[in-house]
Amino acid sequence: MGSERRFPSHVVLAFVSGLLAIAVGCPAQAQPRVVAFGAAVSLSGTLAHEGQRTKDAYEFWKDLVNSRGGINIGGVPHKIEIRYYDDQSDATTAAKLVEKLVTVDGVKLILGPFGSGATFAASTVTEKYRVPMVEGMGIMQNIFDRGYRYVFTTISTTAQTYAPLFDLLMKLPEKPRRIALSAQSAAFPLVQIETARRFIKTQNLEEVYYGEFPSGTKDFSSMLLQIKERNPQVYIGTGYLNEHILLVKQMKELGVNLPMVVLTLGPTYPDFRTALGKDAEYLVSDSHGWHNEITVFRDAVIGTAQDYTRVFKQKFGYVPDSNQACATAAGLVFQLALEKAGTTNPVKVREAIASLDVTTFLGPIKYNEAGVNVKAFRLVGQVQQGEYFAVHPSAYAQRKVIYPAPKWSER
Amino acid sequence: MGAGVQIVINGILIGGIYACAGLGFSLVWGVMNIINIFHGATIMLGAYITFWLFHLYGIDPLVTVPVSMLTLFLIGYAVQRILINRILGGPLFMAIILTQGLTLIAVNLAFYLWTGDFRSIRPPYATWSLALGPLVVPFLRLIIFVASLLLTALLVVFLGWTKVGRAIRATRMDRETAALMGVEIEKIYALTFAIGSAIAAGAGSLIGTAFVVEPGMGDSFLLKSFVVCVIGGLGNMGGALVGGLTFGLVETIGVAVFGPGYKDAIAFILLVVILLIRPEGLFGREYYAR
Repeated sequence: MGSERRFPSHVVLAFVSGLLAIAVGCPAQAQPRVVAFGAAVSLSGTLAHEGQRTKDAYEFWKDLVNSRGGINIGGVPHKIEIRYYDDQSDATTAAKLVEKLVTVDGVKLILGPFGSGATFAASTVTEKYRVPMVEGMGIMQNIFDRGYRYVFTTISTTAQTYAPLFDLLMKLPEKPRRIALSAQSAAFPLVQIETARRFIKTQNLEEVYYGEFPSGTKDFSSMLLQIKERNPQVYIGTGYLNEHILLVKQMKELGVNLPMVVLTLGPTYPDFRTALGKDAEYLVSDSHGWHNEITVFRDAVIGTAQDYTRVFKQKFGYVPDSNQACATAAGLVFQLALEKAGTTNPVKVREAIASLDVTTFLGPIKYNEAGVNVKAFRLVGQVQQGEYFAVHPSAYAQRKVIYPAPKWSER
Repeated sequence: MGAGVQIVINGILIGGIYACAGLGFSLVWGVMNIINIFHGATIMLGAYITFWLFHLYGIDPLVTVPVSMLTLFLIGYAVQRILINRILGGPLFMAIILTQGLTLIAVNLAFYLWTGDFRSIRPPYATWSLALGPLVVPFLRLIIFVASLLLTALLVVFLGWTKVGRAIRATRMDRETAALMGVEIEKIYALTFAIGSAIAAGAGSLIGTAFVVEPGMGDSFLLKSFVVCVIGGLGNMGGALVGGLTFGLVETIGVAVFGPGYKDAIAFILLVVILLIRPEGLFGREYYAR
């Protein structure tokens, strides 16, 4: 009879199972949800410096948003996780790693790599798998001329470059007419210099010199002497930092005095200015329409450019430039789109990105069919007393442009 | 006329830089028959030693040259004794792979320790120029050119007139016979590699002052060194100097005539032409190029 008073075994089993489920289930419920991002950035090789800073910019956004509880997706807070791979400064590797992120790691939201080449290659993968990639480091227009629907940029593209520069030139009291050009033989500088050449034609200016030089050039003397002989008023050079640092050094050594020297890339980068010291003075550059002091643009996550600069410097110990701002804004675009979409479904997130029309700390963002930010604009800046200041357009200018620049011997 | 002379001056000066970079490479290749890929990283390390001594303690870059030479002499000696010695006599590619591996370690360590920031060594004379009428002679490039001449002369004297130098040459000519004559082969190889490393480091200190210092800076100078050796030839220390000057002059004049876009094409056409006409190089001895 006693056995009849015992609990039936299946009741005991159900009870224990229930307890176990609660025990296991409780911490699971306490765990916040996660939204996973992936990025292939250059952490070794020739672009390691730029790649590391791109990663810093993404980490900045991740830590800031996570410290406030994460991204609200469909009413549920999600913590951000970013999986990084090192593309070793190689575009093909970047594409392979993005494919690994999507197919092996199951990441469906991709933050862009550093540089146009890697972005170009990686965007082919994201298009194939229909996962959105938002990037701030691939500036070449041809990334967006292929009818792709899953790549979006926060930075202005090469098609948007030099418009304010030529506007400035036309507004100078002594309007320059004679322009010399040089370009490093790499995809991005060559595309950029073509934009400058188009402006020279449409503005009826005179192209007095055009030269292309290979990457790794150690001697610019012949080119500089020819430029000196043609006596241009403005010299526009496109290329990368290493070559441009040497170019300026040799310009001084050889006494090549020009009223205006415009270098893209160069003066916007703090380590370019540090490397050249006072020889960087008066150099002009064209850059994305953002600088550390702009206060007219604000968003609810980062604040203004000033806020971004202050907090970023506290965290990483260096002042961010427009490159890091564009990369951080890529994260922000995802965040705004995820909140809008209410889901992490990559196709729906893509639709939400495409329909964004927002103002961020980087400036206004609205995409066209190709994924280009049509509200992006460019700034002209000049190095004055060691700092890079916006000089044009006047709405965002911090200083007036100094033109003509003093001769080397008078500096 | 003035512009033409200026182009020749520029060609000679950049040639001096190529010669300076190629000298240590030529020594190691000529004596040990090793294509030392680590040479580029040695130039980079020499440049960083100068950068940090200048940046942290304000020591003049020219004064730091012996320091970087001595440091890399010791590192070079150790690397040869501990690592390269083990693969000597093996296939040529073993040495290339080993020194390439060492390069990867050194360059990535430099990235890790010093980041990829572009650094510049800027003593007051960094961008000085001497004006000779309408002609301009950049001071630092002139210093590097003079240093190449001095180092070449020193090496010629050392290899030709000292006991150790003769032992080095004897080892290259016939390793077994040299050993039978009492030459300690392993020590001679280590010494040669150490001297080659020291010269590369000295070149790095000077080049770093004229150019940009960053972990990957050695790559392009390694390639130039290779071209300098092929043009100038092996087995004669004057070969690197002749190779460097020829390379610099042809490149500079070529750029002036055809434009900067043809820079690399001009250099490599020169390389192919010399390999066709004189495979052992302008100053090389056929024996050493084997």
